[in-house]
Amino acid sequence: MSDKEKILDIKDLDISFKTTAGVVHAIRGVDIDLFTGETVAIVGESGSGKSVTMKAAMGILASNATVNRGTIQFSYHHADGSPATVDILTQPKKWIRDHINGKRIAMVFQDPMTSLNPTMSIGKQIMEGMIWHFKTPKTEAYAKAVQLLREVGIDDPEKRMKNYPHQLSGGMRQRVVIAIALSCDPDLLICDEPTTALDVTIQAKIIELIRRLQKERGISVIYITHDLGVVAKVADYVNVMYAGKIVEKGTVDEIFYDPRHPYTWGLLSAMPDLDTADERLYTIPGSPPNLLYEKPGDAFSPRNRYALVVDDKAEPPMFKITEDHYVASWLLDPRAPKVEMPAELKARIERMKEEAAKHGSEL
Amino acid sequence: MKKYTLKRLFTSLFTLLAILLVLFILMQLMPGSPFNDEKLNDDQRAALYAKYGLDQPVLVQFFRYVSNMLRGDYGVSYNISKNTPISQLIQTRLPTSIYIGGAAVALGAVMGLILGLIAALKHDTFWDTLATVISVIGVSVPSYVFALALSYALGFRLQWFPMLYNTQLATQSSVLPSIALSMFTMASIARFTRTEMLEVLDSDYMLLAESKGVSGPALIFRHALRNALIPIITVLAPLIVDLMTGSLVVEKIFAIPGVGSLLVNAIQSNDYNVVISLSFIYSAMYIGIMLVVDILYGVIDPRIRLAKEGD
Repeated sequence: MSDKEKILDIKDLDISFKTTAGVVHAIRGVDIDLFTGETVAIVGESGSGKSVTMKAAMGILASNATVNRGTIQFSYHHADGSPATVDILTQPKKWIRDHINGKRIAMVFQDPMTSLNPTMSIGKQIMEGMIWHFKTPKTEAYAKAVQLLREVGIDDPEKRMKNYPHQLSGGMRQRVVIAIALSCDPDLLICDEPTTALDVTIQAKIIELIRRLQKERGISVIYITHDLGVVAKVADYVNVMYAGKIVEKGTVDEIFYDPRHPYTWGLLSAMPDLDTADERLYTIPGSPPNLLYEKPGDAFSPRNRYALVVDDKAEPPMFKITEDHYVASWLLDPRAPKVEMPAELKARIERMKEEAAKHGSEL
Repeated sequence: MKKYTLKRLFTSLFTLLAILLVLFILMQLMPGSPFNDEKLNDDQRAALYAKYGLDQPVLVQFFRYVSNMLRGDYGVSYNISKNTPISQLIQTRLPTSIYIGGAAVALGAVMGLILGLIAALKHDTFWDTLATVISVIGVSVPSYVFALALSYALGFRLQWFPMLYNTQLATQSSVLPSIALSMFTMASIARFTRTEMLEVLDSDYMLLAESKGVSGPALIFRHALRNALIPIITVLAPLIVDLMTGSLVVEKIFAIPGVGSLLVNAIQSNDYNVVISLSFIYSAMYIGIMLVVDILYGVIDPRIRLAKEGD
């Protein structure tokens, strides 16, 4: 594990937003690691701070955001091959735009219907980054853009180059957004819920496309999603986020087969599946906390039916289970009563394991 | 696009004819007559009506006017300047109004855009507040107040510009009235630019452009302003016509020989041909500018252009 090269290392990231209602403490000490060529998924409910964390890494936080603590170390290679590591949070905006955005870290946004400029042709939007960062001659940029469109699976790319976003379907637009992201050969691709706004049939194709491109180009990918189905298909590592904190992290197998945090149990139980005997789909009771008002202790405790008294007094530390598997829950403390995951979930995980064994795949 | 433009030109022509007809009917409904000299008796008045063909039915008058118009004859003035052809009457007045109005529009639009851009880019700072205050003053203070203030300060006190319009010094004389007239346009455009830019700057595609690494003027002009311009043009169009057709009050303050005062005089004295031809010219300008605006939309917004090509 130590011989792998770390590309992104987020440590103790803490961000708050000034709003008219008060200060929202959105990110409360997040650690995320990503190694070259691997995929990390960040999973959590809306408002858990998944997107904000990654926007911080891109230097595109909203103007009312304040970074209180933390570092975001990003490692890359200069054109001559010499390695470099920078803390993105300490760099000026202009430097991030010129050296990081698009060139080394690219992002795919959630809604392809709104993330393309409606008054600029597809071709221009793909070529723009190359011309901006590398002063690529127009003809060369054009050829590369056509090649990219072909690579992301768009037919008749020469014709599409002249098209405007409104002439393309949602799935096609997301392919274009992916082509834009890949145009400057970035080392890291951040996909912010890339399939949430798309049809189910298109979702699978886009996921497949991103996976294929990752394999071909050897890039690292961060998935931000609330869809555990997507996570199971793409991720090497999973970070489960709740109320601006990572509550459980581990390899994809550890999270799916050996979840330890009650919130992860809830998320896994809430996944629809065909074999569950229950008529009703399980949901986690309550709603995510309002981060305007901070409560002492574990933010999840009001919704946690296994909550301990200590949960309302002190925040749980990260308990180490294995080299990769960490859980922030007092249930893992040796003094805590022994709590098993719900029987229903246990049965479901057994079924998933059998299924995986039958098909010979990881999951 | 060509087909669309032709279609629009054709419908514009019909619109203009319809406007002309309505004007004729309205003139007939207006009380009084152009010949209201107390010394005239009924016989003399009837003779005058016959001479100018005003005793004919409206439709006959209408068709005769249209056919004369096609030959460039807009009729003569009955009252303001007896028997002078209209074309001669407005020959110097219309260009003066268009010149001053045009300068006001250009000044107002450019200043408004700059002010709005600054306000949006420096959102929630001192500059934003300053721009907002200027806009509110520009919208709420009538142009004649600006005209009087400018005329006093820059004309009377500092004597930089003539206080009254001087045909020999047309350019210098136009400066103060143009500034006074531009204030409302500037303020409206500034407010719209600010709102539209804020909305565009907040959009996902701006975030994508930033995440590509685009920054500085390219980000503002290539990505943001172009998208913000579409609604701005919509408010600008009627303002253009408003200003080009002359403002009565500002014309009075600076003693400008423009068309604004001519029209008011003509209406008061029932000078039919002057009213009709000026109203007709206004309508033609309005329709023309709207046509240009619609074509501009297509140039700026591919969604509109491509939809029109499909026509």
